Amino acid sequence: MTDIMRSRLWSIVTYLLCSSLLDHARAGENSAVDFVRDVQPIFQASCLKCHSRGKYQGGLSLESRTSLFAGGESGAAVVAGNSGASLLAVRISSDNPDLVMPQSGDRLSPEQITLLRAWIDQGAQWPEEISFGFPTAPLEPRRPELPPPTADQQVDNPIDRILAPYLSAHEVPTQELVSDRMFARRIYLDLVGLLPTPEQLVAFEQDIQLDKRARLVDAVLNDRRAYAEHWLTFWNDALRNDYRGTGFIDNGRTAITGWLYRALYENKPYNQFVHELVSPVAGSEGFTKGIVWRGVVNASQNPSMQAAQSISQVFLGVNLKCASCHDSFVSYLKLDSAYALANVFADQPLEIHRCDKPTGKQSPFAFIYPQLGPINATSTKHERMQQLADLMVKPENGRLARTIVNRLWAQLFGRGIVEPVDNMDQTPWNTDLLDWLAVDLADHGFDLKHTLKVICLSRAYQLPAVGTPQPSANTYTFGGPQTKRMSAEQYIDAVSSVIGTRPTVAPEMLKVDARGQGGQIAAVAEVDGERNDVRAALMFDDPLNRALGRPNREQVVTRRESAATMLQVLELTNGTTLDGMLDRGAERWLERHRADRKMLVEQLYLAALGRVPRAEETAACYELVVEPPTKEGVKDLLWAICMLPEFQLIH
Amino acid sequence: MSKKSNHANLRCPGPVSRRTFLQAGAIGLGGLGAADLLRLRAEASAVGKAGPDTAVLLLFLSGGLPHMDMYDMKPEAPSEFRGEFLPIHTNVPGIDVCELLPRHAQVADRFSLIRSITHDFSDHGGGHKRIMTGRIPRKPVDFINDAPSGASIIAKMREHSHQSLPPNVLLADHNRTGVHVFSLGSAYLGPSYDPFDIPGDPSAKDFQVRNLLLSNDVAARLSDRRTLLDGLDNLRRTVDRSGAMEAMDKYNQKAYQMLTSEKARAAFDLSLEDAKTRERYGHHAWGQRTLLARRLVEAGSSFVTVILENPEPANLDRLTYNWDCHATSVNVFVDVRWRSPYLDQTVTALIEDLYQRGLDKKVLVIVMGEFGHTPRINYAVGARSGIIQPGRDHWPQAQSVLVSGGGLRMGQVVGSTNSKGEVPKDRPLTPNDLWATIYRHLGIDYNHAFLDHSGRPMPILPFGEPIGELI
Repeated sequence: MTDIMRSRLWSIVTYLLCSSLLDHARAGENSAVDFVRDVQPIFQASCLKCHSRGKYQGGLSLESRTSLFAGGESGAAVVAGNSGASLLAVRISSDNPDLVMPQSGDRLSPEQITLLRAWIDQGAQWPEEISFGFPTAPLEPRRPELPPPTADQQVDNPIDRILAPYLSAHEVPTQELVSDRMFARRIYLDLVGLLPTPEQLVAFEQDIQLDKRARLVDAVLNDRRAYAEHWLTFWNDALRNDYRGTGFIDNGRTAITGWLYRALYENKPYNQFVHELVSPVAGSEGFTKGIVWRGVVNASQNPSMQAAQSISQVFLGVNLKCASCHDSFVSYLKLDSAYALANVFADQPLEIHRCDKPTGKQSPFAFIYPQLGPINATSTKHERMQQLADLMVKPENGRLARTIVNRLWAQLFGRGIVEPVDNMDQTPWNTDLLDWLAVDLADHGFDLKHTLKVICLSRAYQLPAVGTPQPSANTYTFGGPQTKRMSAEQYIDAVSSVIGTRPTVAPEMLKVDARGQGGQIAAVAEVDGERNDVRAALMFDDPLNRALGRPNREQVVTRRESAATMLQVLELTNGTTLDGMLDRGAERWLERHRADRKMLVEQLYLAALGRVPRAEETAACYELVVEPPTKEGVKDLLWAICMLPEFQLIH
Repeated sequence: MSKKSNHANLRCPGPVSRRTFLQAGAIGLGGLGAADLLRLRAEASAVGKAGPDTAVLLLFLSGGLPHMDMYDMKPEAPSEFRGEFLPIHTNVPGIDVCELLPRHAQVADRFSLIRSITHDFSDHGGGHKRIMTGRIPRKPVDFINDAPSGASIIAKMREHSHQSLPPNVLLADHNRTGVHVFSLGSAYLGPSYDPFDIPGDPSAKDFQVRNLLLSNDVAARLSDRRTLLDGLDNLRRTVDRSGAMEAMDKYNQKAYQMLTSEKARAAFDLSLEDAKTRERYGHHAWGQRTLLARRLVEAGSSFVTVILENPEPANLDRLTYNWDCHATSVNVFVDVRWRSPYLDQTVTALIEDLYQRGLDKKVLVIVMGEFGHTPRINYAVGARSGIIQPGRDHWPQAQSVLVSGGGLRMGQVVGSTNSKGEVPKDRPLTPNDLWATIYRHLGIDYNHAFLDHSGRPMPILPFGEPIGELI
C-alpha cells in the first residue's frame, strides 16, 4: 500500500471515528474562526516546529497559506471549505500513532481540532501578510507616495513628511529643534568627524539667513579632505582595510587605501564604488582578495568564500557566514547559494563542503538573488566578477540602496531603520522611510552626500538627542537621534583640536614596506597633496585607539562596539599616549594664556565644548588652575575636560 | 582517547542534538554511562553557588611538564624510559612523586594529581593554544589563538564583578608578557579581555608594576582631577547620558578605585608580606611571582597566570631556558635536578599558604604545561655541551596536572598512564575536562556562547565535563 493510499484509507476511517465530534464541529461553524486569534496559536504551539524555517517534515511547509495549499509529499494539506477532504484535519484527529499530527508533543485537544476543522470549513482564511518563514525583505526598489506636507512643519523635508503620521501614531511629543551650536557640533562630528572651531561656531551663530543650516551642511560636506578622512574610518572597518597587521606576509593581503581615499574624496557614486570593489580596478583588488590565512583553514574560510561573505554583508546586509558551512539555521540562505557566490571568485571551481567535509558536489555559479540574472559558468573569473558586479548594481536590486541608506542613517542616528544593520531582512521600523531614502539615493545618481544632506536637514535629525534604549527593551520607537559616544578617531581628533596640535607624519606612513604595510600618507597624498600632520583615521593602530574601539580589521566591522571597557578607562586615565598629548597641550595653552587664567579657561571651554563656562564652572576650574597658571594645573583641567561626558558624547 | 574527527564536528555547534551532546560527553568521560553524564551535567550546572570571589591561580610550566620525572614516576619501566630519579612516598598512601620533590611529599593530602590529560598538538604553539583555550586550534603551530584563552573568557564573564583589581593577570619574565607568547589572546572577545601584564622578576630590587601603580604625587593629582571632573560634570548634566555613559561611569569608578584604592595598591606591594612568608616562597622569580599572584587573587583577581620559565638566571651552557628539555639543548636530568627544588618550594609554599589563610575553597591552583615529555629518553649531541646527552621531547599524548584547593577532593590520583607513561590507561581526559572543572569552580556556565568573528555562536567549551572524581 502506498503512503497516499494508506493515508486516504485512514482519512475515511478517521472521518467515521470522528463523527461523534461532529456536534462540536457544528458548534464551531456557528461562530467565525479568526486566523490570528484562533489558528495561529495552535500552529505556533504544535505545528511550526516541524513545518517551517528550514524544517519541512513530509515536504509540508506551514509558513504561508500558499505553502499550506501546495501541501507536501502526501498531497494538498487543505481543501478550502471541506475539512472532511483535508488531510490536515484528518491527520490531527488520527488514531494511528504513526500518522497522527503532531508527531511529537501532545495531541491537539478536541476543542483545537474542532477549531481547525471549522477554520477549514469556513474557507481557511489566512491574511497574506502573515508568514511563519524566515523574514525576507523585498528585493525590488519601492517608491512610496509622500504624504502631503503638514502646515505646522517648519521645514518641508520628505523624511518629515513620511514620519509625520508615524510620530503622531506613536504619540511622540513635538519638540523644538536643537540650538545652532548643538546643530553645528553634530554636523561637524557626524559628517567630517571634527569639532567645530570657536570661530566656525560664532560665524554660524551670527548668520541670520534662513537657509543657514542647509548652507552649513553644504559647506561641511564640501570640505573634501575632511570628509574623506572621516569616512575613511567607516569604510576601513567595513572593507577591513588597514595599514599593517595580520596577513601582510606572503602577499596575503593588499591595502586599498589610495583607491578608497580617492573614491571618498571624489564622492564616487555609490553604485560605481561597489562595482569597482566587486569587479576590481587598479587599487581596489584588496577587498575581494581578502586575507590568505596561513596554514590549514576551515573550508568556509578560503579567500573566495571570504569574498562572498564580505560583499554580501557589506553591500546587501546579508550574513552568509552560517550558510558557508551548512544551510543557515537563522535565515533562508542555503549552503549551495553561498558556494555559488563564492565560486564566482574562485580560481578553480569549488566543490561544496558541508561542515568542512567535501560533498562530492561541484558548485554552480550564481548570485544569491538569482532572479536578478545569471552568471555564466563558462566565463573566466574576471568576466564572472564583472557579471556579478553588474547584477549587484542593477536598478532592480533595491537592496543595495536600502542597505547603504540604512547604514548612513545608523551612523547619524545611532540606530538603523533596520536593525541589526547587517540583517536587512528584518522589519524596518518605518518601511516607507527606508524605501524612500533608497529610491531617492538612486534618483540622485547614488550620491551619498545627497542622502546625508537630506537626512541632516530633516527635523528628525535636528531633534534633541535621546538616550540609548535599554537592551531589554524589545520594541523601538523613534524619538530622535540617540546620544552617541565619539569613535576612537573622533575622540583623538577632538583631543588634537583641543590641544592645538595633531600627531606628525611618521616615516613608515610615507613608504610601503616589503610586506605591503604602511605608506598610507603617501597613498592619500597622491589624491589631495602632502600633509604634515595626521588625523586619527590615517594613524597606525596603537594602544589608545585600540582601547577606544578601533577593530583589528581582519573581519568586516560595520558598527563599532560602543561599550566602554576597563582597559579603555585605564588607558584614558593612566595611559602614556593621552598623557603625552595633554602634556603638549598644557604647554601650548600656557604659551598663549600664561598671564590670564580667566581667558585660558574660557577659550578652552570654547574649543572643547563650544561654549563659555558658567561662573560656577570657572570657579571649579580655578581650584586647579591657580594664578598664574601652572602646567600641572592646566594639564589637569585638560584631562578633566577631555573626560567630560559633554565632551565625549555626540548629543 | 579523543579523536580529531569528533572535534572537527564540534567546532560549529549548530543545533545541538541529544546524540552529539552524548558523544561530546563520551569523549571526556571515557567509560562513564549516560546516567553519570547527566548527573555530572546537573552538578555542573549547579554553578550558581560559586561566589564571585572564587579565583584560579595557574602555575604554567612553559615548555612542557616532564611527567616521568615529576608526578608520574615509572620505576618499573625499562631503563630507556624511567630516567635517573626514584619515586618517594608521600603522606597519602598510593601517591608517589619524584625524589626531587620532598616537600610535595609532605602535603599530598592537599593536592590531587591528574595523570591522564591528553591532546593531539605536539608543537609548542599548538600545545599552548590547545591547552589555553579549550578548543582545537585551526593551525597546529604558532601561538596566536583563533579562539579566546580561558583566561580572557573568565575576564569577560567576570567583567561586571565589583572587584577593584583586573580580572585577568599575567606574570612572566621581561619581554615574555605579550598576549601571544603563551597563547593568552582574546581572539573574538576583543583586546579588552587580554591579560593585564606584570613583566619582570618580583624578587628583583628594582621591580615595579608598570602602568598600574601611580607614583604618590600622580596619585594625588588624580584625586584632584577626579574632583574637578566630578564637579564640572555635576554642574552641567544637561546631556542625556542614559545608556551612552553608563559603562564609562562604571569603569571610571573602577579604574579610579584600582588606581587609588589602598587595597588594590597593597595587593601589588610584596613588601607588605612578612619576611618569613617571602622566605618560604623563595627569593627567586618563581617564588615571589607566585606570592604576588596569591596577593592578587586574594584581593579580587579572578585568573592569574604565573609563567615559570627559569627561576633565576641560569648557566645556559648547562641548563636551558624553560621546561623544554630536548637532548640537543640540555641533559634533561641535569636540568630537572636544577629546577625541581625551586618548583618544590614554590608549589608547596603556595599550597600551605592558601590552606593556612583559609583560601583553599576560594582559590584553585593548577600546575601544568602545554604537554608532557617523551617517555622514551632520546640521546643527542647537545648544541652547547658538544657531548651526547639524554633528553625528552614533546609529548601531548600524556601529561600530569597538579590541582590544589578550589574546594575539590584532595589527596587522590585521577587517571593513570600505561606502564611506560606513554598514553592514558584509565580515565583519558582532555584539557577541556580540566577547563570544565575550572569554570565550574568559578561559577561560569561553559555552555554560554559568544559569537566569533564570522558570527558563529561558539560555546565556551565545545565539549568536556568537570572531572567527577575531584568534585
